[in-house]
Amino acid sequence: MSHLSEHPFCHLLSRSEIQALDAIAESRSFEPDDYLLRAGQEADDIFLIWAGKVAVEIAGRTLQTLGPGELLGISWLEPPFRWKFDARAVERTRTIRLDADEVRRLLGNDEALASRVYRQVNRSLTLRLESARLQLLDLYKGSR
Amino acid sequence: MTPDLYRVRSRRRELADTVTLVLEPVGRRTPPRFSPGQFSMLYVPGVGEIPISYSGDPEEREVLVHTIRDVGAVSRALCWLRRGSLLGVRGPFGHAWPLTNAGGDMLVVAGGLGLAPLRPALYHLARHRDSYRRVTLLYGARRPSEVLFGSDLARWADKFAVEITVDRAGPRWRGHVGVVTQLLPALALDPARTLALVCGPEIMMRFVAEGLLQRGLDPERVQLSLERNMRCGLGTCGHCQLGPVLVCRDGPVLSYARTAPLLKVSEL
Repeated sequence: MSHLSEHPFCHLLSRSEIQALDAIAESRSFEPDDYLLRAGQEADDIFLIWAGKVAVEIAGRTLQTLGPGELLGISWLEPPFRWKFDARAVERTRTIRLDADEVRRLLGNDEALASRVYRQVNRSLTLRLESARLQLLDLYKGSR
Repeated sequence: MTPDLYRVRSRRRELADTVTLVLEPVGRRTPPRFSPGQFSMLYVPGVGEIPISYSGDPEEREVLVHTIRDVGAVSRALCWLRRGSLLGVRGPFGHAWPLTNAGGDMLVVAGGLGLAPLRPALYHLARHRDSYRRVTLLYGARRPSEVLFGSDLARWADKFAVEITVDRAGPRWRGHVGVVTQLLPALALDPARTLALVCGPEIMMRFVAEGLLQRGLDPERVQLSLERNMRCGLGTCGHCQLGPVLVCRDGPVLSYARTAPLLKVSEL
């Protein structure tokens, strides 16, 4: 089995569920300034970051960086399955890549697995929504 | 308590609206000793008096150092002081950061100008690095050009872990982008041995404290520095009252266990 079982994305999954995902997982490494995703392209990858740092960007502006233990990208979840942002490695980055088509097929066939994966995605989205809201507040402007 | 007379020895512009003043006493006095986290009342004759935390090295005996952001009439007057200008200083006041966790881990979380009241504690932690196990500084700023105390941060990075995150950045920035709370889930943390010192905008402190509680820290082990309208510095005038707490006397450093119920009350 790869590192998959140790990644927080899989913390809610059973051993057999992790094995099912592991069968469609591969390691991918990226050098600084390599792009993992490009806006507009088909969302056929799911990247679980293992080491390094990835910048989520639009029009050359970084919106957020993601690091070890995080899930990169959610556009594989909903049609039209196309990335809305770019993602660039800021430093040398190691990921576990899952095939999005295969993951969707697995989730479609296994409600229990789907429920646990969506719970994990939901946890990740909740944290990011909270962070984005705080970023919008521009808290450091004019305060101490 | 009447102010002592001080002279501006030097002035450094940190940001467009933020200045650090180095103050020396007029006459043969030496400045009073202070502990990291305490504050002075700085008085500009004819303008007014405001509380400002010490931002210098607590082992420095000749001068006092304060970092001030221009947000009102008195802070603006302080920011406009020049070398040689005179001002009044009272203090030190308030409770200090508890730096008593020797042998344990120290986590320092700062946001924006909140790094200034933590800087004396960071000088202390760097100087006494061997007395602590793991020391980590997480610092959030608005953008790369608004990161304060860059040379200190570089020096501290040789002594302990320093992670900087900004709210906005271009592609050249190699650090983190996002709010400082985003750094908490991946942080190596031993909740039973960690003491957290947190300073920044109140909303940021609340989210950091809640994030640390989720990671298993006891609210007594999360210390915040509060900012209120402090006038007398002695706990007599009541201007800085926060429910049952007088921030100038009981704070500014208080545990989250004590402040959490108060911070959640709107308009308090």
